[in-house]
Amino acid sequence: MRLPQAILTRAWRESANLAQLLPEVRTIESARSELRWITEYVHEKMTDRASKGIKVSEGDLQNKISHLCYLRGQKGFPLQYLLGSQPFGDSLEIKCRRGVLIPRWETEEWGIKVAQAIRRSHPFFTAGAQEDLDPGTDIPSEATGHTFKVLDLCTGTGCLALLFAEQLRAPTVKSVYVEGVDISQNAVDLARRNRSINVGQFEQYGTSVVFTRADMFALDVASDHFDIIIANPPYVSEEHYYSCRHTTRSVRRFEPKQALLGGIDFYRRIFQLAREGAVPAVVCEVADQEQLQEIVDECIDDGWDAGGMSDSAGVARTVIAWRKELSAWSWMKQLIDS
Amino acid sequence: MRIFRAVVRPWAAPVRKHCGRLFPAMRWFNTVQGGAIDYALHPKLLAKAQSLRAERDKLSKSLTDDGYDPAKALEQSRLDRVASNLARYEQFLPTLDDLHKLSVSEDPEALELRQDVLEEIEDIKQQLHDITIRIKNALISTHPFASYPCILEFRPGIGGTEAAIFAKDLMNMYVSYCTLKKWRYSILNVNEISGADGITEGILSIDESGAYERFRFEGGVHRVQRIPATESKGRVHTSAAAIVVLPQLDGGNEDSSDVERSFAPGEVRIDIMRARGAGGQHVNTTESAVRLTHIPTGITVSMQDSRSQHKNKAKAYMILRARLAEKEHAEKVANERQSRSSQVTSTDRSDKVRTYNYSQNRVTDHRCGFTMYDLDGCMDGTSLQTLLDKVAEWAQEEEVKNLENVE
Repeated sequence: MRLPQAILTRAWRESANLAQLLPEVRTIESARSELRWITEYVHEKMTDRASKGIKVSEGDLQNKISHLCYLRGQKGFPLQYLLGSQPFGDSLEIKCRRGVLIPRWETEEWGIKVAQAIRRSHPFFTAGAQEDLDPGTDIPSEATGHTFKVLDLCTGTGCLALLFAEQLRAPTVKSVYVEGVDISQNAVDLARRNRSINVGQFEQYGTSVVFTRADMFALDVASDHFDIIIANPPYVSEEHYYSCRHTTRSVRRFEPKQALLGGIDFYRRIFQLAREGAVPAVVCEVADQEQLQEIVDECIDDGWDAGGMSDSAGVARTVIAWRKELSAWSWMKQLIDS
Repeated sequence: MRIFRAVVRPWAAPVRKHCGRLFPAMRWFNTVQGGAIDYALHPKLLAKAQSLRAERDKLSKSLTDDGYDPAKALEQSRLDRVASNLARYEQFLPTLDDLHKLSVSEDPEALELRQDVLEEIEDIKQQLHDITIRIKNALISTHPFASYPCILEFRPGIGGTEAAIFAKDLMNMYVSYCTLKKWRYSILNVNEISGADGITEGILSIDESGAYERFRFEGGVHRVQRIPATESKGRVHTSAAAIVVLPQLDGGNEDSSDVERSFAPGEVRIDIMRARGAGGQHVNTTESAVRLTHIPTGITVSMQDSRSQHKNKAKAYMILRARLAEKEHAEKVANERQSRSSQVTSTDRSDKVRTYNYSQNRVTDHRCGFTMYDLDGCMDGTSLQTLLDKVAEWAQEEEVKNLENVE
């Protein structure tokens, strides 16, 4: 849709950079915020350079800002690719670059919700060391072990894996292990870089994060005893990908098709992996209610309880499934939409 | 070097210069008879101090029985101050009585000593005066939020763009004060206006324990008189900006979800301001603004500072909780005041707390009547300390007056 002339005039009156941003950003308020973030980023970068002894003039600064505004507003570059990062979780900084999917706020939201629920309710995190060894409980051996293992499939930037590493803090003498898997070497390289940047957020709690390059359709996790599989697999259908109503132009143009186009095959494989590896719980991001229903109908057998959780925009965003017979995971029904 | 001149203008009318010349005898009379030195403790205060002493014994017993508790220990140290000063007070009083008798007796031996006795009386009165001040200060109960870090909120009042610019100036003043003091601070949210260097809202968090006590009396309307940057004809305008001081109850380092969970489900409505649509992988939005509405009270908090929606939400919850705590406390104080029959002056935000006059290089605090001719020093934070001290002093005096008036 064309921008109303009134908004454009208002933006031009305020600043040229703001008007540059408008075609992509659409509203003055968001354009103002983005201009502020761009300005902050450029200033930070220039002071960084100045401290290294490289001379920076005020003109360079303004040129850089207006160039970024041009790329963002006129060419439609995602802001995260221009600024090179996106804040995530409580204190993570996730680097972003071309060829790897940018972390979405929905992913951050459900990731934090699920991770904090695990920390509050799972016996691994709530029980004391002595109670754990009590043979009377029906908690399987994985949960009573000394390492809580998370498998993150289609990890991309590694944002979910690092988020779980940040949020899940194991009690003393225990530890958390998170493995991120992606088929793209580019993504795995970036994820490893993100790990080294954010390692201070979880290292002191005995948490380790590993990223490996692998095809999830050829993966074997039968002997790894993971406690939960999390994933943000490509879930945009062909039809939605090419429809402007669903997928925005900027996403189509700049973000990797490989990380977007997908669907039920991925979920089928994820639940197959969960069965093979005897993983008690699975949480995945989904596109909408329709897809959620399809997954629940097709991929999940009678041994599981499952349901969906909506994001705060009211769209069904995650499928949550856990094995019926395990009391250690039965609290997960609190997360399910009523 | 900057010219620095500070003038103290107490409530009492200024002493006229010729006063001493007209009534020289008066001054002598006053000092000797002790009319000038207020040494006796108000009976109500005395009763209160004695009751606190009894409380102290109970408290110290419970401390040894129930184990150590930092809040109790702090309270005990306050009561200890009351008790030790009260003991000295009670010890001096009979001595003073004896000396009084001696000074008026017609015994020739006493007459010989009269000069020494009078000097002794003066000395003791002075000491008693100091003791009573110490007792009074210890009697004032500390504010429940005194030890917390604080949040300052800045909003322009009347005066349009000029008020928005002044609101920003004020915020910068506190920021430079914190920088000088090496206090940790962070700007939680800034809504800038277009076309000028002003703000429509600014939220500054000062993460230093005890900051609430320091800035408690900064809340209220701050008035500015100057030629605005927006004025073309050189006229002096009067505008205003308001500051709200809130306690920061979470210390800023706790688990972000703890604050969120301190509210009942359904108590807070969360609005995220983003377009409807498929969301998820289909779109990549940078829109991260969050608005919280506390349904029982109707308080709303908007936050759009960070690129992360999660962080904006966490900050908004922190501010919401601070506003609720402050509101609760204000209501409690108002109830207490209503239940008292006597007039008790309020040390809380009065309408206009301070005036910044640029053309006269002057800052005046309207509550304590203190005027300082060092506006630049004030605005860059260097001499703000003086101002804060004067206001704190005034507030303490008011509290003591209230103590004497109660019941």
